[in-house]
Amino acid sequence: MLDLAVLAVIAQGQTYGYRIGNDLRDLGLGTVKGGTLYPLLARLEETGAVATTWREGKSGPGRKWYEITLTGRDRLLQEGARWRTFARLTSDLTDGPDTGTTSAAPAPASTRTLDAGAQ
Amino acid sequence: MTEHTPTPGLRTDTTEEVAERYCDELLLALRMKDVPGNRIGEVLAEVRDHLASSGEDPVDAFGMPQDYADALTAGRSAARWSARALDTAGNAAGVAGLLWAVAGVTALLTRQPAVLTEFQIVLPVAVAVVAPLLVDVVVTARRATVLGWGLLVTVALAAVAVLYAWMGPLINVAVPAAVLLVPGLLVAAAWIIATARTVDPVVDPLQDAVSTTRRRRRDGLLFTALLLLLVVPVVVSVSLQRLS
Repeated sequence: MLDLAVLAVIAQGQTYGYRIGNDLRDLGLGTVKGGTLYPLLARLEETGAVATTWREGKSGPGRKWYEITLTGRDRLLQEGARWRTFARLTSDLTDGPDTGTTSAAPAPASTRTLDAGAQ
Repeated sequence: MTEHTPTPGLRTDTTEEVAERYCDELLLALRMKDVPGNRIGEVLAEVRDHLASSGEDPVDAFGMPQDYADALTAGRSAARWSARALDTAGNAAGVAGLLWAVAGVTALLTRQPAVLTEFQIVLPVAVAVVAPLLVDVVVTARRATVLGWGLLVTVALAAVAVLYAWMGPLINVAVPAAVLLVPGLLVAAAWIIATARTVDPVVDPLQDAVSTTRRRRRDGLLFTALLLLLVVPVVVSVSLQRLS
């Protein structure tokens, strides 16, 4: 889920690691430590979801800038749609008045697919 | 939250020193995981930029260097045992070549036949196998474990030295100097060239390609010069010993 949030932040425009962390926090997703964020960014880069460039940084050392690629946009669309469906179904399920009585009924096929996708 | 701006007079060198110490430890941890030099350069630059922007403590932000190196390399397949075995065999051959060359040169200088003992075969294999394991232990284990291993290796080496001095060499074959010198020189030269070519320095991501190539060459030459500097005193001391 965090990959998706990071990808969505990068989709808003070229950005860098520290700013991504701040944006995630401002969005209410809590503090994401550098030790979690940068390995995740590296994986996004390895899979071709983001492209990177190095530029001189204000604070001295070089700064790595991230930009979403077409592959990344496709992934954001697909995983975003899956996530929205999953969130809607979960909301419906938990908001329903007869939540306790329907637990024994078999889950619909579409829900099972979503569960596998969400993992 | 805005970017961290160091307050003049308050941001001491200590903050940068802490960051640099962290980067040194991270570099070592990534090296031990066979991460290429250019990738290490990128990781370190990103850590420095993040710390300079946030003003955070490195361990708070990234965790312990060893753990952060683990996170960065998670999912990467480890080097295959066959590649590691090939490396060990190459290093053993290189050290054996150097020893043979030293023995051959010494024999030539003293105008005596060279002596071939098991020492020239067993020692290089032991060095090639034990040295990487020891480096691994020193870098990854706790201090107590390192001290334990250090003590064990020291005791083992002392025992072998005493036994060797008491029993003398098991094999003692006098051969013409050229028998050790020629193959020794060839193998040692091949090993030095191959190793110098694989020198993989940590490169700053903003460094241009020309400077990177120049740096690789310089480090390769430095490695070769260092090895030769180690060999010359050995040849001189062994020759003097045999002459006396």
